[in-house]
Formats: sequence, structure tokens, C-alpha cells
Amino acid sequence: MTRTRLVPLLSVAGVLALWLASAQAQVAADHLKCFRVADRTTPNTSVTADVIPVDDPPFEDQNCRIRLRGGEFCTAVQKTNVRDRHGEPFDLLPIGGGATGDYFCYRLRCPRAHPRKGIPFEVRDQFGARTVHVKRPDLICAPAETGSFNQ
Amino acid sequence: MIRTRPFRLAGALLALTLLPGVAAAGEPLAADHLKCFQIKDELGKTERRTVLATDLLPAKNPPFASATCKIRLPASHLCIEASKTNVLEGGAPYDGLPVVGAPARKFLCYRMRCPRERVEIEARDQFGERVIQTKKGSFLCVPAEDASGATPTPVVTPTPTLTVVAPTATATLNPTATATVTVTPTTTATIVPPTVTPTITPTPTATPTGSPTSLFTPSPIVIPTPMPCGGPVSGPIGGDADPCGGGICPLGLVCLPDESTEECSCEDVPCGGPAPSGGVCSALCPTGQLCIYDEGNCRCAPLNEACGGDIVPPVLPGQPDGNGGGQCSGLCIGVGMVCLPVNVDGQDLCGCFAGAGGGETPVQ
Repeated sequence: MTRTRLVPLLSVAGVLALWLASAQAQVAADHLKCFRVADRTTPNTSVTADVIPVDDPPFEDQNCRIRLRGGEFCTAVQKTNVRDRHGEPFDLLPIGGGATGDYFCYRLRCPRAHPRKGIPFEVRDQFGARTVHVKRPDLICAPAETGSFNQ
Repeated sequence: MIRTRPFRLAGALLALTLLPGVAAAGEPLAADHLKCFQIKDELGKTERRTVLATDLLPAKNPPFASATCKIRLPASHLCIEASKTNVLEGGAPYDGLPVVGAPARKFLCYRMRCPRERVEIEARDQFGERVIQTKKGSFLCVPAEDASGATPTPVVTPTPTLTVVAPTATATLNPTATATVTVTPTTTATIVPPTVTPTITPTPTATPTGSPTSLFTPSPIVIPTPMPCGGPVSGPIGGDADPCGGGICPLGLVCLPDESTEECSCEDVPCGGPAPSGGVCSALCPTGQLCIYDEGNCRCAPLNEACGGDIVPPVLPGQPDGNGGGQCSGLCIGVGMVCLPVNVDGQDLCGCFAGAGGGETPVQ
């Protein structure tokens, strides 16, 4: 008689499939809530870097200065119960994304001159589709981790 | 504490799918940074220039707490996915920590006012480790999409990726079998185990483009793609399964089947009473409450009852798959979902998981 471990494997796959199906109904923490932070340990220095967006051009910048002290910390949140100033539910477009991670955001200065009126860019989010005019970059956010690292 | 093997395996498998470096081996480099620009938003030209109130439920609770905040339209920043390269300090290459993230995506960010929340956390990124203290919330960034259609949005579609090790076949000889065998000393009997290769092939529907200039190799967090509500029902109406497949609706609306047309649509259903088919409670509740599933019914409950709350006692950091003795006591919005501890990227969290597999119960 030949016995394999296929049965437990199928159980795992079944549980995972159920989780995947159920997860579709869950609302992911796909927003970022950003806090100003007090950071007394990071030296008050800066570095330079080339910051290359996926959609370049026109948003590529080289030799940008990143100030390491201060800035923001952003963590993943889920938004619910959105209401207007009268307390009425506010209609949102069904635009979402997968769960996001944490970020540290730093002040960014890039030498390239940007058009004063900005570059038109069509974009949409839960509040609607529209054209925004993109001006100069002023923040760069790097992926972050939290926890206790002294172990 | 009772925890059966299928759940433990599922948890481990889930953790594997969430951990960077597992799902994306061999994939091209992707942009895991955000580059944020000041913008002038045309949303401000319409009557929608307003202040909205919203409840924000952090994924990491604790240390962060749920809060009701006011966000101000229009948006102030557009953040796009980017990579950082050629990092120099004083002209010399900067030696950063190897902290990587999932591929980023676009966000529109809005000014926000929240109750002051002083949280002290230890955090690190490529620029170092430090202890920071949060002040007040300043921005809320909402997922956004390129609406031009001219430039394909290179968002990595979070297609479920499953890597399964083929099970080892075990051959057991039947002890009752009797055989007369003449064995020649030079004969080598080889029992070849059947090669079982369960192949669940991910469909890469989008390939990140752009030059692979990131310093490190980030890996996508694998999350199922939410499906918008609509279209014909996928099963019988009134059964245990959700005939609308858990379709996503705008907040406050529920994806329900219409018996006459057999089409799914988003309906405005108040929270309360028996849970709809499929058992997902997502209707609107008063500010500060969430519509949750509770023993066959939907009801509005304070946010601190929902899953994502405290893990008591705290799970020790470094314990795999949240098995450090922690407990989650929150409720989830779907039937069959249980609130359980899980360790993701070293962070102990409570999350909603399918409690299937023979009467799984949450850790008590």
C-alpha cells in the first residue's frame, strides 16, 4: 500500500483557497496614514541620489538632495465610514489596491526646474477622475520596517 | 490553546506568501519607493472641495490606534512609484541597510487632521534604525490609478502565487503479502516514488517596466485582486456560497444578487439582522463603528471589537507564524473568518483568516 502526504497538502490548499476567496471580500489596508515624527537620533545630514520613477519621463530627477532628519512616518490603514460635513455617507469610486507597507518619507530637493504651472497628469482615485498639475517633488518615501531590532 | 495542524500549515503557507523573497524569486527589480510631488488638483474647482470625516483602522494595532480624522479635499500631493540609485554622501557611496519593500503604487495624498497620537516605535529603513515618536497625522494617501490610458500603469497585479514543495512519497510494504522471490545478488530494486508536482501557475498579467535601477530586490506582497461587484451570479441564490463572489462595492454598500435578473449589484443595506448570502457584513454604521459578522448576524460594533485589536498576551517578536501564545479576540466581517495572530515581517498582528478545515476555532 502506498501512502502519500497528498491529503494534508490538499487540506492546506483548500484552506488557502478559502482564505483567498474570503480575502476578496475583506477591505485591505491600502491607504497610508502619515505622521510627522520626532527623531532625535538621526544625524542632521543629507545624501544625494537619482530618483527614477517608473513612468519616466517626465518625472525623472537626478542628483536630488534627501534630508535625513525629520520627515514623516507612514503606516497602512483602512478607511471606513466616510461622511461629509452633514454626516451623510460620501460616495466613493471602487478603486483600491493591495495592502501596503510602511514608509519613511524625507524632504527632497531636486535641481531640475519644473514648469511653474506643472505637468498635466490624468489620474483617478476614490474621490474621482481628474487632471492634476504635477509641480516639483518634495518628498521621497523609502520602505520601512518596525519592531525590535536589538536581538 | 487548541490549534490543529491544517491551520498551522495554512498559517505557515500564508506567511510564506506574504514574506518578501519567496514569491518573487527571479522577478525583475521593481520600484519600492514613492516620489511625491506637489500638485494642483482640479477636484478643487468643483463643489467637492470639502472636508470629510472618516474612521482610519491601522493595520498595525497596536501600537497605532483607530481614530476618526478629517481629510481635506482636494489632494495636495501625487506619489508615484520610483527607485533610488546612485546614493552618495559627501561624494562617497552611501552604505545603506538592506531594507526592501513591496513594489510601490500610485497615491493621491490629502491633508488630514487627526487627534494627537503619540506613539513611540522602533523603526528602520535603508538610512538606519532609530526610535521615533509620532506627532499628529498629517496626510492620508489614497490608492490612485493613471487615468490617461496612454501610459500603462505598471502596477504589479497581485496574482496569488503559491509555491508548493512536492510531497515525498512513502512506500509501505504490505506485511501480509507473501512472495517467493529469487534474488540475484547483482539486482538492484529501485522503488521510484511517484513524482507529484502540484503546479499552480500564476498568471503574470502585468510586468513591471522601467530600468531596474533599484539598489535592492523588493518582492511583491501577494494579495488577491479585489473584483468589482457586477455581472451575473456565479451560483445559486440563497445557498451557503456567495453567488456574487464577494464583489467589492463602494464603502457602505453590499454586493447582493437580484433574484429576478440574477445579476449582482451594489445595494444600500443597513447593518443589522441576518447576514446576507455569503456572510459578508459591509454596510454602513455610525461613525466610530464597523459592521461585523457575529453568529449569523451583522451588527454595528465599536472599532475596538473588530479584528486588528490587541494581541493578549503579546506575541514574542521573532516567533514564527504568531505562535508565541498570543490571542486575538476581535471579530471579522465575514462568515467563517476568525481573528487570529500572525507574524508578518516580524510584526505581530491580528488578522481575519478562513477558519475552515474541520471546525477550526480561534485561539481562546
